[in-house]
Order: sequence, then structure tokens, then C-alpha cells
Amino acid sequence: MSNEPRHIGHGTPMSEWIALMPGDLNDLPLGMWQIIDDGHRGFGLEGPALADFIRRSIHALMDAGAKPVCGAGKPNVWVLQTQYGSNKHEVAEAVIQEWLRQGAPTPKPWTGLWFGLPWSYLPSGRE
Amino acid sequence: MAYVNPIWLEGRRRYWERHDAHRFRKPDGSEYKSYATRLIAQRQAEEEEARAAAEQEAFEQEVLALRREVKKLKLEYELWRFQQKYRPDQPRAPKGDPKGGQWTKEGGGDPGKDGRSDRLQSRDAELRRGSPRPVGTPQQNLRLDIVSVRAREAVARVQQLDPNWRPQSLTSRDSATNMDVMIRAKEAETREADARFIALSRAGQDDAYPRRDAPTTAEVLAPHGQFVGGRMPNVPETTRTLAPGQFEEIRFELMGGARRVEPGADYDGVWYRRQDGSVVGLRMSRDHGLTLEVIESNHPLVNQRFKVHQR
Repeated sequence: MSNEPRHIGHGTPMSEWIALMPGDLNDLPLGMWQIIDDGHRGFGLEGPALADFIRRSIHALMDAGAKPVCGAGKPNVWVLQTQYGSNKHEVAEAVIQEWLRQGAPTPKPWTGLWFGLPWSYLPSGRE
Repeated sequence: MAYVNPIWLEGRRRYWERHDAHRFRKPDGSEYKSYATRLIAQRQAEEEEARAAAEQEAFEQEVLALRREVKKLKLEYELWRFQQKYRPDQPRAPKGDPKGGQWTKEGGGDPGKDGRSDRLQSRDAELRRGSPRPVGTPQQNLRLDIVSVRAREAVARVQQLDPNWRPQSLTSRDSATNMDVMIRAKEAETREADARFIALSRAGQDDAYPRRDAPTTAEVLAPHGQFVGGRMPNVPETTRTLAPGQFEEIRFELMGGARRVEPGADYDGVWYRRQDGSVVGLRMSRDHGLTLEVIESNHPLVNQRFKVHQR
């Protein structure tokens, strides 16, 4: 039997949970606040295990075409964040390092960094 | 040739000429299946059949429920029209007017707020509500039923807060005989109503109501540990889709004892803090219109990614 962690509430294996994360990107970008909450409270992860969960989640989101974005202070306007790097490995490491430097907090809902598809950060995508 | 005892040979002949001699034939490996294998295959086939029948039954029930809902709304609308037809206090055209004595609307047919005359507005309304349904495929008819129910729910939701509100998106008048245009018109009506509802909620005219024994958010969204609604393919388990009527019931239930709190600056909607401490949001989704979602929750089942779309 696999030792893969399962979601505390749903019983879903972690790999399946991460694989389905991009399924909502057409509706809305996915926030770090949600990823961290999933790993921390959903799977009971802490420290390096939580960082690894974040890394795998970012890889899955970027594999689906998402990029780091931030809210622009008004609804439905997102700004692409290019300072984290150009590929999923660079972005994941930079994002995790930034999160660790801040003391590995669980961000407040609807704040911080998100991962969104081009429709969210390209002006043509908002039409 | 080797000697064969004729008595044995006679015995073999009688053996293979018996009426049930087929039972003694050596089974062919490719076709032979043991009793257990056949039993398992039979059970699997029965289970498959039962599952397919259950799925079909659920689909038919859903279609029936939608049709019932459409019929109910049509009946309500007819009743409303009947009630609108006669009002003793409705004004009449004054003496001296060519139409003197005839029933007239308030404002005497002056152009409305949007510059259109009553005649044009009533034509629009007729096309929007009362025009006969164009011919379409069964799929188009079903789709029109669904979007009509959703539009009706959305408009009714707004009219609970603003009884005189009417949608202005009237693309159905472009082609009342084109099913696709009718469908798009209903979708536009829904979007307009949803946007209006969010605007009214932001302005503090939402329909949260006091309730002492409000159920927890988890009890509303996952009664007995089972999530409400269904799950669409390739989306997380926490993204649920509901029929418009069910969505409205859930929304109303969540409003019990809730109080509005300031949403995040980027949030396209309103947030409510509930008595159990959780925060739920109501926003306009890009693809799904009015959407309910959990913003804060300590419950392991109903987490911060839980959202409810309308079908």
C-alpha cells in the first residue's frame, strides 16, 4: 500500500490533489494562500514537506500554462510577475525562498502571489 | 494398425451417441469459461447495466426537474401577467385626447429612461418573455430550458432586492426565430442580473437575515459529509456545480445570520462572515456567473478552495 499522504478531509492522494489543481484556472488564478492552506491544513504538512508540496503545486500549475501574477488592487485585473524567473524550477525556488524569508506564513485570504493563465494577465483576455 | 477390442469400441460408440454426449466433450480452451468466471462476468455485466440505468435515470430526473421548474415559472409568469392586466387605479387618457378614456400607462407613453417609447419597450418585453419558441434541436431546446431557468432565477434574485428592476439586454429581438440568439439572450440576461445583484449587495442591499441557530458552513455545503451538487470532469473535488434553484437555496441558507465584511481589494463581489466564524464570498465568475465560495474556514472538508458554480 502506498505511503503517499492523503487529504485529511477528503482522503484524496496528494499527487491526485496536485494534478487537479489547474482545473480551476479558467475560472480564477490560484493563490499561494490557497496552496499553503491546502498543504498545511489539508495534508498536515510542515517545514520541508510543506515546501515540497508548494514546489510540486507550482510545477503542476506552470505545466498547465500558469504564470505568477498579483492582483492590481481592483477586481479582475492581474499583473504578470516576471522577477521570479523564466521556468517552473526557477519560479518555484524563488517563490519558496521568498516565502521562507517572510517566516513561512499562511497568507491572508485573497492576498499575495497567485498563478494565472494568460487570460488573467493579458489585456485581451479580460474582454 | 493396432488391435482394438470391439467391446470397448462399442462402449465408446454408445457413450458418444448419448443424448447428453455434448457434456463429455473436451472443452475448447478459447471458449471454455469456468462457472466462477462466467458468474463474475455475468455479475459485472449486471452491475454495468445497473450503473448505466442509474445514470440514465438521474439524467432523466434532472431533465424532468428542469422541465417542471420551467412550467412552474411559466405559470407564475402567466399569473403575474394576469395580475398586471387589470388595476382599478390604472390611469386613463384624459378627456379631449383622441384616446380619451382608454387605459394608459403612467407617464402617458413618454420615452422611458433609456429613450425608448413604451411601445418599443413592450415589444422588447414581448419578445423577451412571451414570444413563441423557435424550432430547434432537442439539445438546443434543453439548453434553452436550462438558460431560461437560470435567467429567471437570476432576475428573481435581483427583484427580491429591487422589485422594479428589469434586464435591458434584449438580444433576442435581433432574431426571435433563431434558437442560438434566444439562448445567448437568456445568457446575457443572466449576466446582467448577476452583475446587478452583486452591485446591490455591495451597496448594502443584500438579503442577509438574522438567524439564531444558523447551520455551520460545512453543514450547508457538505450535509452529512456529502458535498452538495456534482463535480465536473477534471476539476478539483471542492469545485461543485448546482442547478440554479439549488444554488439559490444554498445561498439563502448561508445568508442566515451572516453579516457583510469588507472584501479583498481584488475581489469582484461581497464577503460575509457567518456565525461559525467562516467567511463566504459571492462573486461574478468569468465563466460561471454568480459563484459562491469559501474564503475562510477551519473545517477540513470545506476548505478555502471550496466553490459552488451554477449549471
